[in-house]
Amino acid sequence: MSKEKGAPGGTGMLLLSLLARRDMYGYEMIEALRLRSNHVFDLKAGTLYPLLHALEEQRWVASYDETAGGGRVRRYYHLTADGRNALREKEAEWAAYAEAVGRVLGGEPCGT
Amino acid sequence: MCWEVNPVERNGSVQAWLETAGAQIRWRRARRALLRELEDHIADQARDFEALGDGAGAAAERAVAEMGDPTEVGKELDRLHRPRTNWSLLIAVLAVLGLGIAAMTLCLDGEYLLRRQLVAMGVGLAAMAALWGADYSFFLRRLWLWGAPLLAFCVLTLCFPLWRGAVTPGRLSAFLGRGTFYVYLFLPLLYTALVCRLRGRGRLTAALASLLIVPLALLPMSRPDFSTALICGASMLAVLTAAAWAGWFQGGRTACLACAWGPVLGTAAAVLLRYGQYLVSRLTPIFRPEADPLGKGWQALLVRGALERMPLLGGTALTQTEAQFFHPQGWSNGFDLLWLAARWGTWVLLAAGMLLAVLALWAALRVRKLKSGTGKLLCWACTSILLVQGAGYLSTNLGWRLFGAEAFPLLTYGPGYLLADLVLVGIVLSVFRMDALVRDGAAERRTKAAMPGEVIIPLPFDRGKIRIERLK
Repeated sequence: MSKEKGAPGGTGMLLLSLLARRDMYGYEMIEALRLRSNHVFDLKAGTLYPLLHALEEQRWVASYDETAGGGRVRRYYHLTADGRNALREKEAEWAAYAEAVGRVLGGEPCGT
Repeated sequence: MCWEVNPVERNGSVQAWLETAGAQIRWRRARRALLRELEDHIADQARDFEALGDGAGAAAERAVAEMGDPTEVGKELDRLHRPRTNWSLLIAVLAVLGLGIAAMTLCLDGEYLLRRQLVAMGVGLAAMAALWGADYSFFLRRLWLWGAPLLAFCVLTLCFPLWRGAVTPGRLSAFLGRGTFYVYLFLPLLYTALVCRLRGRGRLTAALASLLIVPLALLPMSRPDFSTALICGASMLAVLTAAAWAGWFQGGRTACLACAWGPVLGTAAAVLLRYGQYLVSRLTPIFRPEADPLGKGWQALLVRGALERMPLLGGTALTQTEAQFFHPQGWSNGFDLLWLAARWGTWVLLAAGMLLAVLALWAALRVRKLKSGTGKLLCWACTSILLVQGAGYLSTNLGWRLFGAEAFPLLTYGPGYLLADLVLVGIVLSVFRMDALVRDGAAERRTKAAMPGEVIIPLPFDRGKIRIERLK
């Protein structure tokens, strides 16, 4: 199956929505995504980190180090104001897209 | 890498995966932080697998398998973490430098001054290029490598007035008197490096950092050099304000800002009470130059008188006194912009003011978006030095001598200032270049660790997980 080319949202939107609730580190995000989606979204770390760092490059998320237990340093990500705006836009696009798909599948005529 | 803390530390497959991914990441400065993040991820995953009943070795193997192809991951991360050049800034700086040299060719009287300016520009551009290619964070980490000599030099120069004329021959004496003057402009960088080390500390530290501004800014006053003292003090305060605003210190933004400004304002108030009359006598000439107790008010009056006659576009005939003062034979009195305004119109001064406004706007918009907090502070330090210097020069050229700076950044005559300003530009370029690679590191926290937002407890024998989430 082609990767829903043209469909709005995508994994980036899911990550942004996770971070809209609270700051998280990478492993936490994968776990949260897996649990919230009932194991539908099972993201590999190899996909997650380049995506997270690309979001950081776009200034949609920012990161900071925090000392965790055992002297370890964890890298947390949080949603920036730009990221919050981007999430709102993507959510709106997704809602419109999902509604359109629903209408097509439901066989509703156009413009009703 | 933190091999001593991770339970999967000596697992060969983890090591091999990290090495393969790391081999794709070309920039060493980024590699270490990225591999640490990936390694932590493997450790978390392995710990969960162990909690589900796997042995340590099997858990690590499974965790590595979950990571995906290390070569692909490494390549993707390498693509995202490369040095980037801020070409727009570089082009803007070179354009202003070109304009400055063209203007000085017309303005400066004699080849000697132009040659001095060109030599300073050549050396400055070489220094700028070297700093641009360097890792600025190295200088922040190895603070004492340059900070200690700088501080020692500034403290030692307190003795120069005693040496001058007594033990040093004429030219060396002149060098010690004027040539070393510009070194003080780097004091705010030393201060910034110190503030960078205070992240995560409390309000008291912010207040102490504020107090530190006073002795550091007073160092140039020993020359005596009020202009550099003001440039240094204002830049250091700008850096501390930016740090407090960005949450560099613990304890709330407003309280931290109060701690950053309080001691400085308190000291200013104390100085005002102690030397109030003297300060009033020195500040009054800004508004009423004729009341200058040093008898230099005629300079500001001369400038204001000339400006009143100058049109926006086109030249003005200057009196002999004005011409001799603004443009002395074979020297520059720090009125090059005014001299150009007399030839071409006051739009020259307006353009210089707009250049400063653009620099301030650029700093507010672009520096704010840097990822690295230390980089931001360093950029604020450099841009505020340039801004205050430019504002001082412009105010003097407008007949409002708040304090005198002898050159407008990158534009007018002043070899020492030009060299120092190009070094500052080189540092800013380095910050932008390294921003995708540099990580600030964990802040020092002295308070109790915050409660985690979510706890996931894996159930044994692959029966799933319990998730406990703390709602906002």
